[in-house]
Amino acid sequence: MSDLRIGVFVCHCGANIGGVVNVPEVTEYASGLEDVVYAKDNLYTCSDAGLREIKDSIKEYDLNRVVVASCTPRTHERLFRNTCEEAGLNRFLFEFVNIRDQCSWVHMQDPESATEKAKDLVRMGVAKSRLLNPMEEIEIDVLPVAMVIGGGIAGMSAAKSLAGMGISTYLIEREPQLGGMLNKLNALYPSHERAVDFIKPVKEAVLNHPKIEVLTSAQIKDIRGFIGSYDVEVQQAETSRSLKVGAIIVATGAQALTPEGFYGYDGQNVVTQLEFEQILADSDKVAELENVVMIQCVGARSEERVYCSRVCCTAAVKNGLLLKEAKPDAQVFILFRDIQTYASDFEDYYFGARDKGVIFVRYAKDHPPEVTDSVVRVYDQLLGVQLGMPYDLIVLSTPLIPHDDAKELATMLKVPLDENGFFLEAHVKLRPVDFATDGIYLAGCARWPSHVGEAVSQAQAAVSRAAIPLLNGRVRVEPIVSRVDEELCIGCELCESLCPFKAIQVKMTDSGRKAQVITASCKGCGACGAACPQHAITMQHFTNLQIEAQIDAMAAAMVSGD
Amino acid sequence: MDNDEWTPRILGFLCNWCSYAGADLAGVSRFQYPATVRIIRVMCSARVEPAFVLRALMNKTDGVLVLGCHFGDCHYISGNYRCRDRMEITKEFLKIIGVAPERLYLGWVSAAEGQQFAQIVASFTDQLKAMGPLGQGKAENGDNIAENLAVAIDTMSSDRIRWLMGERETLVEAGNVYGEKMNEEAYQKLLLDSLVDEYKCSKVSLSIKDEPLSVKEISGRTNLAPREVLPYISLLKHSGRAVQADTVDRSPRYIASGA
Repeated sequence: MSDLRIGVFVCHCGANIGGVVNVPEVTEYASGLEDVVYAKDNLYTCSDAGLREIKDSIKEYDLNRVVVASCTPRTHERLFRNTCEEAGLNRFLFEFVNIRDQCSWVHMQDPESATEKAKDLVRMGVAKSRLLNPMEEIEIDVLPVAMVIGGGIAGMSAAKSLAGMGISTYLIEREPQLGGMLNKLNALYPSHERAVDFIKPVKEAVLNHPKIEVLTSAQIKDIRGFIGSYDVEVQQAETSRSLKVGAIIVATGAQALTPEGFYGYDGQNVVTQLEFEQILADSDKVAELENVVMIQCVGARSEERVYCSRVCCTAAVKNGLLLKEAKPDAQVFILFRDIQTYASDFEDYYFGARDKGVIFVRYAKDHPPEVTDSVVRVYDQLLGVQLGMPYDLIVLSTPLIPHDDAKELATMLKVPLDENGFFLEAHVKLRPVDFATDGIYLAGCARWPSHVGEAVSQAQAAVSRAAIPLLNGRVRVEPIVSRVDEELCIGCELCESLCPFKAIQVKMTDSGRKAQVITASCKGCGACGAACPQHAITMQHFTNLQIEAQIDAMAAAMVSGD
Repeated sequence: MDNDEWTPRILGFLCNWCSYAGADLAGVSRFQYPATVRIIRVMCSARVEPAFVLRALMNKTDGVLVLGCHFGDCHYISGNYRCRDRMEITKEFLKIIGVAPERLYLGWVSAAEGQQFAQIVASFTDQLKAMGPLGQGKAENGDNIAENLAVAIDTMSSDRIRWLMGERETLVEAGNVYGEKMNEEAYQKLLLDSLVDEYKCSKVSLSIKDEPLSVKEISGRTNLAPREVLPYISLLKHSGRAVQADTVDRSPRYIASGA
């Protein structure tokens, strides 16, 4: 007779799961599975009430395994493990079953199949849970040194905040000077403070801070390691430096799309909004301007580039206003598809531009403006008429796009990019400045086009996340590491040659040459276990027995408790 | 069986960092796909052993999906290369044992490719629908498939095959201590020949798992000629995996050790 006492909690997630999957039916099914002594459905298992129910049930029913069928382990595993631990159950005697992201949300038209699939997945999860073993987390040291990649406003703000906490910080910038995109801007919205005045004290503070080492004209060549200890190779001119850091903040920013082939772009009479910034900084050039036509969404919100670059509308409003202030009789048209001056003060800013005489004309995506030698023609969607406007300068608002080498850096860091090529955070709401990989954080336009205020707040958020391991000096990591059965090991060294982290080494012992795992270095991929000719290596928490039980459970018919 | 009504059952092995995240993104984005796949999360695609794939098929799964990070993106640097090597040879092996290699789908899905994941499941489902249940595909022999898969699991678990698969990089890319390298073609041939050899050996070994048999009887059960059986018996005896049980009608009978 088994002494397993498994509790299964099936989550409705409001209507997210319950609206498709028949949760009571799945719960009923789970209660009939072998060794399941308690099964319960919850409206929200992750709510206080749901978590309390898990804890109470562990005590009341003497549960020694807990299975939650709800969302994804990528966001909620830690929460449920903590809950188990609080109730006195080892945190690794918990198993997660994903019936939302990988079931109810993707089979919305087929509730019957989704319910059957949910049952299968619960059965597989219960099968694995039977074979789980209690484990203790591993503590590893964290080098109290940070690295910030990118010396724009996000990167500088991050470095300054880290250094302010007493954390030694390397700030890596590939250009010869700090400042990033702000070096190319004339003024900031909505204050109209000159960018150069804004950035100067920030640069000085960073350059003069004793805890910050700035490396300019520096290129990252290689990054290896994990949270707590990264080895980074940085190339500066002819010299190469090896840096050791405990955490990394990615603040590499973005670049403006060059609109080759759009509206006769030539960089002279047809320029980008970014190039217009430099014209506005030159009062002689401004004096010559009579008729300026700006076109929004150039190369953006199209089939090729579906996203909204967020900052270009407010930037166009800013530059329209600045031109009107410098030269009130100049005619400024902004041809837009939708105006996205988000946030309440920016809405006023937009109305302010209209009050000052900037004329906004709405065009449709399938009727883009036409540019001739002397006029821009556009069909005004709101007036329902064709307009022609003379111009001496056309300004194209192009989106911010990822840097060409973002992919290269992402590969070195082993972090993902999104479908547009920007860096992808762990979770848009729950972990907005973390990567899924511990020890690496994200701020500014590297993630998504953002204005200065947003970039600074993201930088500070990233610093507050990075500071947790950096200031603790230690971090607890999952003991998902391999274990060697020395009786079976013949010391063939295959595992040693396969391990990408040199975490397994064959050493002489009293009973001959045996493989030994350096648990702090083992990252848990399981390549060694899958290869060991003697089956001497067990990959903890993903053991052969556990995986085989899941495979077998997929096929197994309902195992009734009665 | 009417293939319009029939829906295949697919088991998917997804790596934690890329493809599992991609499958989650498909959910968050509400990309719909057929409810044919059941997913097992592993930390890295390199964790997936060929025997897992064979075991899934033995459990009447119609197709197996193995998805990892794109090359260069692997959270563990090179795990997806190991996975590819193992799965490619597994496909070759499936052919040998009478299973269509298309039943194993190996692919790469990043955390940003929710759409890609949904498409892979949809098109793999369609492909399997066209093939029919396991054993009913073209060039598949349904009668012996379960038995052949059981033998194949034993083969893939043998130390010789696991060692050869694991040593690919050393043999082909790094070279031995004398700097001698094997070319890819020769390595693949060696591995495949060894698989065929071990497969026969496993057949012999499994035939005497429960009862003692003579060489002639083993030959009858395994469809191997008696002169093919004998060396395997000798090998199994030497490696301690079989013993002579008794002699009947002047023919020695053998049984697996521990049977």
